[in-house]
Amino acid sequence: MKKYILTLGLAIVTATGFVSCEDSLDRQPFNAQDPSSIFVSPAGFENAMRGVYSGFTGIDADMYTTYMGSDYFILADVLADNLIISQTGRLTRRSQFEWIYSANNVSYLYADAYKVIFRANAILDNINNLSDGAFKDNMRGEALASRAIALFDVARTYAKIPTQSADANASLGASILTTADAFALPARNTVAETYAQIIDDLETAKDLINTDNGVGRFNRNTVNAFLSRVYLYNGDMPNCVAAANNVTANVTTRADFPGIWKDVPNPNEGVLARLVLTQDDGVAIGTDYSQTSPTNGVKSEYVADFDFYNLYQNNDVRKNAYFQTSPFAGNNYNHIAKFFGKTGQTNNFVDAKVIRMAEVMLNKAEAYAEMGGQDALALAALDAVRSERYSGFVSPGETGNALKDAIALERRLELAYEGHRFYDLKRKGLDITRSATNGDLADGSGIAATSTLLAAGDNRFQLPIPQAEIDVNPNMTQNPGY
Amino acid sequence: MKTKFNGILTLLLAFVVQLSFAQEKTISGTVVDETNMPLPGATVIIKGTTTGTSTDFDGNYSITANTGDVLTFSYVGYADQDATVGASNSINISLAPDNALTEVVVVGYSSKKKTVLSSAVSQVSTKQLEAVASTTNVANALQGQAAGVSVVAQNGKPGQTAFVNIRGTASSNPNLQPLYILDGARVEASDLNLLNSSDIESISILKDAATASMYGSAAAAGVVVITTKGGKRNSDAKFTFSSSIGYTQKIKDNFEMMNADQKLRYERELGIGLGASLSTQADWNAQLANNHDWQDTLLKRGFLRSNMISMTGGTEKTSYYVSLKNEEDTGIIDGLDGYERTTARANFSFDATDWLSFDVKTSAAYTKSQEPRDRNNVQNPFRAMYDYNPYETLYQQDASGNILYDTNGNPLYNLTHQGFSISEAIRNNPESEDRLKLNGVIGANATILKGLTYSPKLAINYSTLRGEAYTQPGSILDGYVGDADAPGSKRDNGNYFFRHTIQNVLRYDTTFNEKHNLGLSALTEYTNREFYSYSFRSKGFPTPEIDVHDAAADADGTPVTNKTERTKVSFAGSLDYDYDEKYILTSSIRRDGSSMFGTNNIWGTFWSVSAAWNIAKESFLEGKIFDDLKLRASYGTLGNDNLGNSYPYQLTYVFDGYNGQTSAFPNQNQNLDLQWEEKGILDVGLEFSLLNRRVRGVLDYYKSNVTNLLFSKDLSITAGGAGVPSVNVNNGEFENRGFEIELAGDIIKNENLTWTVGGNIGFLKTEVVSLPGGTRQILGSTVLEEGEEIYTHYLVRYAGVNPANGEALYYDANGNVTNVYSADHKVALKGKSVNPDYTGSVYTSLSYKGFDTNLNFYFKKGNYIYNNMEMNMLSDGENANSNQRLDAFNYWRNPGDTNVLPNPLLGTDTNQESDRFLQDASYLRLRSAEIGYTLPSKFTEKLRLNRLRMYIQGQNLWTYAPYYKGDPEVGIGSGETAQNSPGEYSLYSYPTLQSFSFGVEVSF
Repeated sequence: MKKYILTLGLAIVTATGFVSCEDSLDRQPFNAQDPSSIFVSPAGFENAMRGVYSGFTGIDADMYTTYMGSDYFILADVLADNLIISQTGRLTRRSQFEWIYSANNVSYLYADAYKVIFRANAILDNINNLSDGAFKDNMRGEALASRAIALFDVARTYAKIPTQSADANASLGASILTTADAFALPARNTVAETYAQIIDDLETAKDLINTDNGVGRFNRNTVNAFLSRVYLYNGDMPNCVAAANNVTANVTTRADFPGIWKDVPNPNEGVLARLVLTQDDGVAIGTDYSQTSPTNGVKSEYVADFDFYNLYQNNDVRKNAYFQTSPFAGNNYNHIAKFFGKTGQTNNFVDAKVIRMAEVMLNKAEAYAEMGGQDALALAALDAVRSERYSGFVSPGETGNALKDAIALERRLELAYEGHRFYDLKRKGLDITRSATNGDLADGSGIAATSTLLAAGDNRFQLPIPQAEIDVNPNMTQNPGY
Repeated sequence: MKTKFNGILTLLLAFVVQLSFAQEKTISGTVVDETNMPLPGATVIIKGTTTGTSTDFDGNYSITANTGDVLTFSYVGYADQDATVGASNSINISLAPDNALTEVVVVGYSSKKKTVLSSAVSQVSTKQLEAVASTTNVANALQGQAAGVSVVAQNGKPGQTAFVNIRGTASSNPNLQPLYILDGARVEASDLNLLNSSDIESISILKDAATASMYGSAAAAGVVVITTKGGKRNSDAKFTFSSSIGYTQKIKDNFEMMNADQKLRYERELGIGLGASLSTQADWNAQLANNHDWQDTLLKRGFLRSNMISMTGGTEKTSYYVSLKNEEDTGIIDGLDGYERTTARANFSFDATDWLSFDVKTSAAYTKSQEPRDRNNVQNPFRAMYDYNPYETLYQQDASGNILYDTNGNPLYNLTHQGFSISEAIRNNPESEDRLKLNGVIGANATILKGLTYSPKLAINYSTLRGEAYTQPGSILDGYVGDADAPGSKRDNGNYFFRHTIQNVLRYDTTFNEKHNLGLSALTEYTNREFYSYSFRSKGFPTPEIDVHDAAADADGTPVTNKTERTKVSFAGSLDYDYDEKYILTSSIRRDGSSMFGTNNIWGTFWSVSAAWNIAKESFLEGKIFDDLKLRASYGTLGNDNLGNSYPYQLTYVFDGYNGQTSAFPNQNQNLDLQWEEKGILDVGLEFSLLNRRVRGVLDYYKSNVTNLLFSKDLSITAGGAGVPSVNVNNGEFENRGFEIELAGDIIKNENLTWTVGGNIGFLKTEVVSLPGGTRQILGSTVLEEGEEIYTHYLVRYAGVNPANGEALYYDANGNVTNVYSADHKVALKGKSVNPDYTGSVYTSLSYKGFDTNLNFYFKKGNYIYNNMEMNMLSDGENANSNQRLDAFNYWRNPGDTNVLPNPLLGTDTNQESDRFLQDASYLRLRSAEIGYTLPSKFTEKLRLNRLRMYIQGQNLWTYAPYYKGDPEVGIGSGETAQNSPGEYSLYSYPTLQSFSFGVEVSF
């Protein structure tokens, strides 16, 4: 009898144990959550929004970490005439400098930007989980702005810019994605459609987003500043002026200017979007340009082009803020000092200064100058920048083409190494020319660039879509020439 | 001694006589084996007492016993036999071998008589394992033991385990190891370090689906079933003490490095380094005086030590086996203590009632090791010993050759041309790992009705790791990578692993109409696996002696922890039927549910059928040459659930920080259809033995197809989802085909001399049948390409040296010769893959009176290894600041030179990754050799011992590798560099060692 009772008991215990066992087949990770658990509360949306910024800066430590932690800043200067490759560096980005990139060997800006778009779209897809109100509006505005900014960076790098050439608007643009679907196989829209989407998103965002979201996030000024940039690229000068006028900030003063590059806190710095990068994040914008060792000095990957360096006058506050002339391995170089580090540091860790008031004024100046008959207003906008850069500045009072040239020169000087030069030449349909004689050393000697001309109209103004995308997406079209 | 012993015996006997009413007399006789050969050393015991004796060399014994006593005769490898003392004073006994027809094979959830087994199962006995006793890991000991089981040591590091491959590639994960079942429950491959090989009773390797399919979703790579020893009922405690010591050393290279004179001359020829800059003969001679072989400087002769005691025995209702072992293997790096392991085991079984018994098996292992840095850089001593120039000294010296000292009187290490001193790093950057592993299995057996048994089982499997790595303040490495404001850095890491298994087996066996044998079983199983790991760092330590984190100035980065949990629920059933053990039919089905797979595919079903025909039992073969002749066939399905990712199907967001607050972003895309990799395997086999089982063999053919391969499929970058846009999918197919032969024969078998020769060989052909997204998947320097072998090498083809000018030539992708190297010219090198065409072994054992000897050869043919080390040693000047191989001199010098290396003076980079460095790694190796001597029983008896054996043993004594330069046994290329498949390339991992040891085993 004992035998049967015991056996029965054992069997019952194990059988009942089993029923509960089946439930345990639903195991969730300890370090991650399903998005349905994220997009349920304002705190969850805030986390997801900060995830968008992590994507912008590349601190999420994916394979791709090159957007606003890297490519956003250096790419446009490596591709143009503000930099020359240093022979004592590691010869990084050489294919970009020499314009010999292929679809297999290309910057990851493309992937990074679309990663940001996916994350922003995931927020927008779920936005109605939030109750109506200021929080929801701001969240929607931030996500729309993020999506637009990322799409704009793809568009200007991998497609033609509307003002670049007559055929630009109808040519291959970027792929517009308005929902988060990892399995989508998108085709490309036209340039005109792409810019319309970017503008639409930014125009919607500017009325939704807060005027202040604290350091490290976009706000209404950021959106209006980008609108002024996008309208300028789109050749819509009145709207560029209007957007610029909506920005409520001042151009950094001459006294405060050097502190911007050392991340010295300053409410009047004129930086309209600052993404925070710390040493723990491991993303160092300055490492693209150089590494500094206490004993050997600055070892540069790229140094200032000799002619370009000489454009900076001695009374220009930017000369010392942007450059450092010092020896490495026995030779003097004009190193790029803009990203050396925060105050007292040479570790290359600085915040990403995404867009600044000085650019907004220069956008406005260029727009007025192009509109015609508005030279006085253009000059005023230009002088708002110049007066805060040169000691003892007296306006030369340029007009006409001289004014346009002065605006272009000041734009090149002010925005060097902030992601503009290549795009500014590209959108104006200009050649990129480099000196065939100036070398990489501080006195202009040394090894000169071997690739010295990228003629307007060259297909390499539009970087190739990564081959990995072409391989998996039958709907994708490669740019001509690759 | 003899007198004393006899005296005691007499006294004892007198005592027994006093109390005994029975009639006492002296019984004598001879114990022989089944072929009538005397068995020396057989044990004769009066049942229920401790009184006993053993037979002499001629198998004769004599013992004093009473009429009615039962004498038990026993001999290792033979079935015990009892005889009752009757009227006669003489009892002659013939013992039958304990294998053959009555041999029982453990096949996992059950055991089967070998006769009725219809599955390809290879068995490895304790004796075979002990032939390579100084190997601490059981996986290494499996090398060459079974056809179709290819074993490659991961590397030569003491305590390191091996890559075990059963019948080809079973997964898209090339590192997938077989399922290991220890005493009935799953353990990890790394848990084999838990095992003391002397504790093992038997190992069964389940190679086809007929038996492995009962393990369902975990069995795709084959199953290794390990059973540990138990005691014997009704036997006195038997103690065994075994001890061995020995040494290890690096196997000598089959190439030569330059000495100081040669290297300086080479440098002078190339116009580089010291050789080019020395200007006087005196300076030159001074450098020659420093000549030394860095292998001698950095390595040492390793020390092996092992001590073990075990006790086994039993009463009428209990039996036990207890053991304790401590082993040490210092390895060959001078300055490191290497590996130490202590293992303890206690196995008990007892009858609670006449229908209920319990089996409890528990073990614990503690290992400690000092870890070298296994990476491809200056921190690796096995790279340094080839890279450092022979004229470079260990310590800094002044102009007159005196060693320089620091202010504390310690010699200053020479930083060499690499700016580093590995000897200093070994001492000042210590790294250690301690592991504790516990395993426990409690099983019950209840006989509910005749033939119906219920066997619940609970198993736990626990392990922890404690790792520490300290870059001491002031060490050279700290100067390079440390924080100058906070010198010294320390990493502590560890993990915790816990698995528990609850199992219920109901089994019914019956025989009807005398000849129909039927067995039915039903099974449920629940397995849960938890894993937790941590790692954190601090920097800024006060002195090198202090390494605790609370003494550090600051944390170094964010601490990291990782936590996962997996659950599996299973139901299974099996049917065994045989007709008079002549016609055999079995079938099994298993259904597994796993937490790891997509909600649409949580459950998977795996099944098998098999049949066998014992032809030798047919009347037409009776009395013929065959003792056994069995034809068998099976087909079934197996799965693989051993994935690195515990949550591979889910759409998930992970968390990180941005601007001091948390952030969330997607890291994985969803695939609710994600499921197991599945393998279907067909096997046909023939087993035979003939001439009184003096010749034994097994032939097997198999074909397996692995489908639903788990790959990460790339998604559109534009779509932008989850990190690197990809999703885990099931797609693609691999095929493995093989033929296996196992053969053994007793060439001589007589009274004094037994000579056995045997061997096995397994041929294997792998093929990529289909792949997801295209016909080719490039994995670095190997490739999966449809129609080719799995992991075929993918390299640019080298076309030799242009005799006209000494430049290196290559073939482009179309086969045209070019002097321009481009990675775009890589092609799949047909037939040159990481997989061997065949592997196997040949062994011979010979015993003559008390002497026994055995030799084991292992061979492998047709696998290719990319020799990265040669690429560095014959670098055409590229790496010539480091020492080079002597044949680097053989470079192009004059127009017309052929069979030479490219001209290093050309200034072009000819040291490119190409098939120039891809080498056929076929080899034949004397894996082990042993000579032992067992003292005759007439001596051991006097010492009051059961048995005393002494032996000397050597491992990896001789190697023939005609094509590969370096040691051809390559598992891990480099510990800290990812590789796509084991044996893909060699890159300075811990080399294979040679060992010699001497041991003694005493039983009493």
